[in-house]
Amino acid sequence: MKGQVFAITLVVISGVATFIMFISTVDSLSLTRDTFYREYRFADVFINLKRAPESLKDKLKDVPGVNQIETRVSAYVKLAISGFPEPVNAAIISIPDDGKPLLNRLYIRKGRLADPTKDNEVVINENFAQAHGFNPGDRFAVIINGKWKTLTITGIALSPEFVLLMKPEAMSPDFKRYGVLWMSRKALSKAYDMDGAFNNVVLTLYPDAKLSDVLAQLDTIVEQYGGFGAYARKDQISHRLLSGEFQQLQRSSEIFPTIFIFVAAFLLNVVMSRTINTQREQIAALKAFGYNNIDIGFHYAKLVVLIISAGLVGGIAAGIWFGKMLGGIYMEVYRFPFLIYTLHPKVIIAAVLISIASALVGTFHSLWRAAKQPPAEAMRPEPPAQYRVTLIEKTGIGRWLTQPSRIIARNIERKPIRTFLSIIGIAVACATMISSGFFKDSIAFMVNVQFVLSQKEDMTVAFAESTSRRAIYELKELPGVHHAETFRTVPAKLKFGHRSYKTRINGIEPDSRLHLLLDTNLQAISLPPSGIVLTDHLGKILGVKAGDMLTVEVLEGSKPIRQVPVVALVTLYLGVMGYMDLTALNRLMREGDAISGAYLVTDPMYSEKLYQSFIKMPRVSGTVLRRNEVRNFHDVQAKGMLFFTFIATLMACSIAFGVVYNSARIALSERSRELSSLRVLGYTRGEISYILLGELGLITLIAIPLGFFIGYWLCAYIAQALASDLFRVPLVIETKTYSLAAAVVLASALASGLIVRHKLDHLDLVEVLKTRE
Amino acid sequence: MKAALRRKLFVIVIILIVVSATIYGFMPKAVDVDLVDVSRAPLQVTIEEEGRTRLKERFVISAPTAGYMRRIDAKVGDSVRKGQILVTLESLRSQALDPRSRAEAEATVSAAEASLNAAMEKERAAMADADYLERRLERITNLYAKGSVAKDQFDQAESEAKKARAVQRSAKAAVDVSHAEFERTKTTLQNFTPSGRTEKYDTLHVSSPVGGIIFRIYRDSEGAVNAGEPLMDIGDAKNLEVRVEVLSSDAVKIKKGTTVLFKHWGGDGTLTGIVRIVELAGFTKVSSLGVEEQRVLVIADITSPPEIWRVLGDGYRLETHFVVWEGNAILQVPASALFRSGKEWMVFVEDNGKARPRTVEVGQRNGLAAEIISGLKEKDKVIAHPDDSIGNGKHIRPRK
Amino acid sequence: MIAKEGQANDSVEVVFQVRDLTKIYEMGEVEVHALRGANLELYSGELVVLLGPSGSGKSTLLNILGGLDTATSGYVSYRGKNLTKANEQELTEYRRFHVGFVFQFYNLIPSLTARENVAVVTEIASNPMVPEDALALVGLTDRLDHFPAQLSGGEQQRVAIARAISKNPEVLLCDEPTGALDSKTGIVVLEALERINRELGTATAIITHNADIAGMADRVVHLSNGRITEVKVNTVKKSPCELQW
Repeated sequence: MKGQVFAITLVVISGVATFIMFISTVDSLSLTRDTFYREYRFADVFINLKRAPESLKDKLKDVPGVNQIETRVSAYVKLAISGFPEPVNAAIISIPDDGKPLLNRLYIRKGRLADPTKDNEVVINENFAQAHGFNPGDRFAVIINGKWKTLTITGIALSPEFVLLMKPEAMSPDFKRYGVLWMSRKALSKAYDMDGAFNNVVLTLYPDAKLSDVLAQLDTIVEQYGGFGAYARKDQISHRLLSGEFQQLQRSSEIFPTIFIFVAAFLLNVVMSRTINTQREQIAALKAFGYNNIDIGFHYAKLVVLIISAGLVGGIAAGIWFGKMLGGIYMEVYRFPFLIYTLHPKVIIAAVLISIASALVGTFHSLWRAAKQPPAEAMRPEPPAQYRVTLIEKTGIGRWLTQPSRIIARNIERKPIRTFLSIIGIAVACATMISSGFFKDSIAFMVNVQFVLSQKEDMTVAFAESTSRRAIYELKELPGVHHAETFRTVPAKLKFGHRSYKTRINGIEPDSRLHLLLDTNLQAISLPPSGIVLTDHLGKILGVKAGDMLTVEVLEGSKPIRQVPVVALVTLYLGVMGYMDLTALNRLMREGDAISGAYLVTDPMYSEKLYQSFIKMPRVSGTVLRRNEVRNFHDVQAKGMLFFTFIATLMACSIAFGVVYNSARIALSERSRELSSLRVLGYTRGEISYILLGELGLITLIAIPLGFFIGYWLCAYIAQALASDLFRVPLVIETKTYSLAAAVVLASALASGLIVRHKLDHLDLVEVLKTRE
Repeated sequence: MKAALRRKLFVIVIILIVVSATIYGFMPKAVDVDLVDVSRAPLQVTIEEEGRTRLKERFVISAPTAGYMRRIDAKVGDSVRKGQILVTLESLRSQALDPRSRAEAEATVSAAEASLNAAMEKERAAMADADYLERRLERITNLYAKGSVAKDQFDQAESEAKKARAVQRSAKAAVDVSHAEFERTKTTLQNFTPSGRTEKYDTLHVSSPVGGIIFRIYRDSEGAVNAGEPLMDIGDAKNLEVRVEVLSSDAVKIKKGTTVLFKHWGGDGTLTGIVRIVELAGFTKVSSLGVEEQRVLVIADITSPPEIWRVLGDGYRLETHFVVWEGNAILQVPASALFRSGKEWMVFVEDNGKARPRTVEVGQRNGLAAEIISGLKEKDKVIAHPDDSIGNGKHIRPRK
Repeated sequence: MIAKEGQANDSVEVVFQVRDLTKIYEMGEVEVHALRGANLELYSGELVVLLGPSGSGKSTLLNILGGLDTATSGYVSYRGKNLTKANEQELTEYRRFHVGFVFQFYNLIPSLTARENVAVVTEIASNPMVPEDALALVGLTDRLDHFPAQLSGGEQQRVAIARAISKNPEVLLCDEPTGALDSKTGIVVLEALERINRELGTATAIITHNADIAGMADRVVHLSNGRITEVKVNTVKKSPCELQW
């Protein structure tokens, strides 16, 4: 009984731990985020524009609903860091000269703010500093508005605006190649000739402000100043990604613990009913002595609660420990200055209540029977189990079965529900393992399709503004550039009916070899000479299908508004975009041959020289290496992935072990008599092991393919639940994952089998002959 | 006995199946790759730059005099013969008939007349002054000769007389000007005749000095033109050349006679051409990306039959490819198959379903293909676009 | 050593030889001496009843003879093979091929029918009977496909007997075979045992605390307090139906 209780406790611990882990992590991160936002005045609305006079600030402030407002100067610069030859970019943002930003304040980790009287001091963000090992006092060079400047770091800071720092079109953060610099307004204005002007606004709203109205009014005011469209916090990239993560954690906290609690309840039910059965005589005696039904019921209920409590204590402790670890992992990517770890009492109460309730519900039937049983009946021995010739045998296989196999078959059929639930339990363990491997597999597939099959360039060079197509010849003639293709990308609002979505339209060369659009069979689709191709997810958001007319409002240049036919929808896993033939896009813009950048195939031996050339080219705003994108994606996901895989494996093992071990132990206690009898009759240890473990082995072997099936559908559900604007998870499960799941389940089953086998080997043969049942 | 043995066998078989199925799942799968044959084919290495067309000889038809040009009905692209009349000019005709203009013209005439009278008055006054001062000068000269007046006085008188004459002359000139102005305003008023166009005018025809095609029309609607105003360009379409500003480092590879290909010229297909001049002197220019570069002007002629490229105009942009190297039956692989390993270039060769790295020596290359000097032979299969998942000995299979 | 009267030792085969057999086992802190130096021979073909009160050591003796238990000291041999020095595997083999067991509580496999319960043993035996024949011997031909839950106590015991002899064992050991049955059913069971002993010549040892049953034996071995106190030869063998208790 001890072993069984241990196994059940393990399952309960796992369930409670994962529940607490996920929820406490979400709560902690939420609380940390909310505190950070509040204390450091994270803005509600953000506006980027080309240039406006400082006097416009009052007009903006007068928009009803606007509470506090701050104007800033911001830009995008290239950096040259000695010892790190690869291209590095940064967003540079102004700090008011008095050093006190009204909104989006800085948390200074080290050092101090930049001195407004000096024009070469900056504060940098912590991730960037750590990635390069920078400390206050270190220096690096930037190209600010075409001029070389050496900057000295005066401080390292964090901001609620950049909890997750990511380049706008990137797929994952790259702390080494993208950072944030904060410079005094005076110095930055001077460098960009923005004295008395601004190009960036952040503001907060009153609680009762109507967001869409405010945004519309702000847009109207800034339109003539080259406004790119005001957006709210929910579309701010750092906040958006953070919210997405929370959602995922929330979902995980719902799915996985539920599985555990069910399994635990099931196991408890089996163990309790067994225990109660074996103790019928004692129960009868107690009843005869005057204990009423309620007392009996309570007594066993207490036992259930005791077992659950042990699991709860362990689970809460483990949950807190894992929760802190998970929080730590998140903190490496999401930079809060501190992590407020919080575990609401109500979470613990919820865990306690849910566990106990499910356990009691699960065991209710047995407890009820124990309570209800008339004493006299309880005194009598349990009526013998009814066996039947099994269905399997009736099909004719019976002829081939030896008696031991027959025993297995008959036992399985005798308690079909219990057998079925055991199979389900093991299958669920298998499915859990598959779902953890699925994350890894699908992400690997996504990255492969997006970054290896669809994109074949080595570097992408982006221009500060749209540039003449002639630039491509210049790039092609750089030493080390083997091939180059142009692209144009414009921000646009796509409208269909009442739905709209702000995104980018990518114009690529029609016979592009470096950027391919792939369909679900991974075959390249040729871009039609006119019309737009949309990501299918975007198609769903807008409610369009091929053939519909889309209204495209370009947010750049002359801001034309055109009708464009949707030619096709493609399945892409990352991002939501529109694609057009480059010439068609330029036609839409009514501009000549303008390009936003180029894709290059380069010779690695010339890479550093090329980086240096690009830094010196004023019109080149940044360079991205594809290799880095891939690596970053993996790096950022890797730690989290490892953690989840570890947890999932733990879970799967504990469930598999718990279910198999329990079944084995119960089977052992129920059948030790007949097995011992067989030993007496001359059956070897191996032969009776076959009977007991063979049944378990059969259950496991049936459960594994069923587990594959359940796992597949569980992953399909997870994939669909995780779909968002940022990425869609393809349902890809490698055979390796299936094998690993099977191996883990088999190993757990084997382990419990060996333990039971050990007990079998030491059956007391003499004892069994003396007892009646 | 047999049954027990059978059962043991059965259990062992089941275990073997399960274990091998599980292990199978772990075995590395063959990676899908694109396999390409190493083949012999023509290879071209080109330098690309944007070029612009220009008419070698351009004839600008301009208005010989000020006049009123009749509407030009010809269109750009029309061919003209030598001597064909292109433009017809009439003498400047009246402006609008509106009374206000006429009243203005009349007022101008009156004003001019008044000015003239004023000027004539001034002239009379100046003449009177001058005459008087000259007679005075005569008297003082006599007195001075006798010694009755100081030299000072004499000088003064002389200077005053001279001044007066000058004033008189200038007054006379002013009268001339006023007179001319008066005449002019009268002529203008003359143009305002109530009858309008019924008058006959003199016409002047401008004909084409050469046969060719109209390349550009500067203005086609009727109206007054000034003398010398350019009206249209005529040129011989066959005399189109392409001017390309090439980076000086690339220009060394281009010489007279280099084959040129023109793409994206507005029509289908590729045009051919030949380099005529590579200028010796370079010049500095700021590139599209903002960098100062040394460039050299290269001029090429189009050798494709002119009928094909009739639509090409003057100042059109073309994508120009200078073929700096060409070879036939060159052993080559797709450029994407190559990757660096240290200083060497390597490829992955397919060998019995496995990928094997092979060092190769690369010769000429363009964006698409690269010449293999050594390391591979014809019919070898290489992996295009090898990525990180390919390694030595990895199982590969061609993508379907 | 008390020999069987009227029989020369050499003409009858000795099946079991027991010398100074001692078995001590611990129950908590107390040492229980179940056997204290027993000596005995059992001969082929005879029916022996081991008689004694509970705690006399008869079950312990039977268990050791059957290879179910090991002696603390002493010597037991079966047809010259030393059982005391045999290891687990050898004992299992010994039980498998040479010994048939019948127990007080039948110990049938509840998930198998009567026929299958016998087949359990015939499948692993080297020279077994056909299960149907074994069951015929005990008079259960019309109960072949019944599960133990559907059989009466006596029928179950008879199935157990059929199971025991179906492997054609040289020795049949029965521990209180009628202990759970009423006298009428018990007689039926004893009749089966007697018939088998007579027809097949299997050496049979029956444990009982019921002295009346001893009447059907060839010899009666009395045990008390872990010692063999007396071995009596029955001059007249009663048939089971003549027994009363």
